[in-house]
Amino acid sequence: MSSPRTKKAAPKAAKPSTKAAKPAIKASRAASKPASDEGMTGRDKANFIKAMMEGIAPKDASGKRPPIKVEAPKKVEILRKISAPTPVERKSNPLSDEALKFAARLEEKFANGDFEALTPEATQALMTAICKLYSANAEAGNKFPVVKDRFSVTGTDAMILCGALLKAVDLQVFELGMWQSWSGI
Amino acid sequence: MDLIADRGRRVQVDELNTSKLLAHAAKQTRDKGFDDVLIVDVDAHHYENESFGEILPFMENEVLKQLAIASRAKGGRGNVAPSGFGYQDMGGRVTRYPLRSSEKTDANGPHRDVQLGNRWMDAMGVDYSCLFPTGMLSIGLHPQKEMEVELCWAYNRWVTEKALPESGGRLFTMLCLPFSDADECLRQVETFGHRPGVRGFMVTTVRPKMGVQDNAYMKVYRAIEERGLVLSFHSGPSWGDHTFQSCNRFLSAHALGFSWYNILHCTNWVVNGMGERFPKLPVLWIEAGLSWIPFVMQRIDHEYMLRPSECPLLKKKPSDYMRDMFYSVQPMEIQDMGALETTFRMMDAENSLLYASDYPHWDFDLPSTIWDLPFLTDKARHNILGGTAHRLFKLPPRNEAQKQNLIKYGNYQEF
Amino acid sequence: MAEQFIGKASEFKDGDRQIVRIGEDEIGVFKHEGAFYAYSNFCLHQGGPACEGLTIANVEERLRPDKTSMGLHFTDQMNFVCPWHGYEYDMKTGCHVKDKSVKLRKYDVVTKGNDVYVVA
Repeated sequence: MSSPRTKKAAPKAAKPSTKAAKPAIKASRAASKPASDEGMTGRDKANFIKAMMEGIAPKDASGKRPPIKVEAPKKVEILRKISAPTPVERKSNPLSDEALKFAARLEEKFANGDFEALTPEATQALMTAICKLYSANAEAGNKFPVVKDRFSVTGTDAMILCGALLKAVDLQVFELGMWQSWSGI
Repeated sequence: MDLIADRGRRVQVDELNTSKLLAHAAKQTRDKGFDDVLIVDVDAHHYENESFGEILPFMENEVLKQLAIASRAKGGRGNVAPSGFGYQDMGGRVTRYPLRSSEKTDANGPHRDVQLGNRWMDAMGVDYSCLFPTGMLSIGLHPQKEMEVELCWAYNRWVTEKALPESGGRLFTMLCLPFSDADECLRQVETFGHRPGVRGFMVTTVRPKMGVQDNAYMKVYRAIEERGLVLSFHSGPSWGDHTFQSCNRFLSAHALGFSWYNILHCTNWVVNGMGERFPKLPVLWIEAGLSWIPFVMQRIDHEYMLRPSECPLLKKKPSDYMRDMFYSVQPMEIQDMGALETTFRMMDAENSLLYASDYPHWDFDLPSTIWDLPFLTDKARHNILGGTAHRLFKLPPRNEAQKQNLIKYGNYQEF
Repeated sequence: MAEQFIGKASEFKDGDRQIVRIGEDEIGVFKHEGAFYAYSNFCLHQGGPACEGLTIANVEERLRPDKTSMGLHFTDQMNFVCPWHGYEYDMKTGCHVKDKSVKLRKYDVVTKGNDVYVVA
């Protein structure tokens, strides 16, 4: 029977005694996490933890490992570098570019005192689409702040719009509070 | 490559390399001197669905073959074999699942499954692995008996003709039986039973149909016994089974399911006196953990004393028959060491327990899980890791030190 | 125990990690929310590479006052997961998220100017 694993052919004389003394095995219960510590001596616990941390062979009594000399320089080797998780990048698209430009034009009009730049019908259509779009994202777990920062709109702006939206669908504020506590959204 | 973590956050990861992933296992192998110990893994897996392109042409019936091959065409036209619900990889936390396809193998080397097998066996210090399929563990749920027969036939031909011959003898198999059709089981035992690398036959226990005690199967068991092969029962989960439909977490359906299906069939096996009918047939129960064994022993011994008229074939307690059979160790529930020790005592683990990794599945066990148990004798340790399997499956030691250890603990046999 | 130089702070972005071998120890060094954390890279379960797997937010199940479930949610706590079997550890403590007594060996990390040292 051919053997692709050549390491098996290593001279056996080089191996330490196959059988470890039982206490040494006790010292390396690599897979064990007893529900209770009863029956374990302090030394058992110390050996157990040490073996867990360092993968010490059970046949080598862990306590026999040569003490590490503090002053001896240790070799430091970088084994792997793992990059930070990258946030999902939302690529720009033509519709978003168009929306950004349109919003900028509206802001400009408003800054110049023109708050009748859109007809009521146009405002309703825009508000309806944005409302649906934002809610669908939130329900799908794709949450992001509804406005860019704290000062994008005033508190009064927010309250007026929230109130108007609730009124439009015949909801009271207490119903909003109840729904929020039950849905977690 | 990217893996998706929480809230759509992506985490960059390297491609999978089994040897790198298992570097710490290789350290354990070196530190613990596993090269000197014959280690037999009686339950490891490959993903046979990745080789369906090679397997399906072995189907015999032209119409079913065309259906199966066509279903794999682009466009997601259907599933060839039953597939279960579930999240084995815990949302990518067990990274070898989503990264599996990224692992590179030598296109000019042996079959990819063999190359991957060699990597994990070398890392763990395993000498031989019994290779089982993954998706086909659910074959018992296929509504078409004919398709179950065809798929088992095709897989059994492919694995014995294409995959195993390239493994240098390190991979062996217990072939999947189409248990819904006893006549076909017999035909496949007769056809494949003598092939190199075939050490037994396996019944998937996730199946709602006939019980193992049905008269139709007696000829199958006899044929396996006559050939000196092993009959094994491999468990699995079935979240969609009505028994588990109230489970709202994969954990629950998985933890119970794997034990449940072996509990069910093992109970039928024992109570119906199969141990008396086929005393020379080695029977092996796979991948149900160990904690179910004392439970079943206690339960059926108890009722056996109360209702002896229902099991007249038994000449000793059901638990005695259970101790006559074999069990794979994984996934070993190492939580309460006292309970585990009692389990080992009750099942006579020194003579009945066989190491299994279940690699690459998510809850695999390393040989160190057995090696490091504080209550085992040296003989038990060697028997469980490979000594008992050496005798059961007729697997020779791979070096002189292993041979000497087999001799030392009374396991060595010439084949 | 001595301070072992492992790299420049400027080389660590938030969320970066390094796996370093210092003498006989194998250690995962994380930078998370501006702070450094270092733990043994040997999982307490079966010895897997505990610090090399997925980092993922902790999961909690929220209950309403009447004890009905609101389902599963990610929290702000970040964990790292051993890729072998899924043992999940709290980034800030090294404790298993369900059993605090299962705790990875923690190493102190010291920064001096732009230099990062692990005490090992």
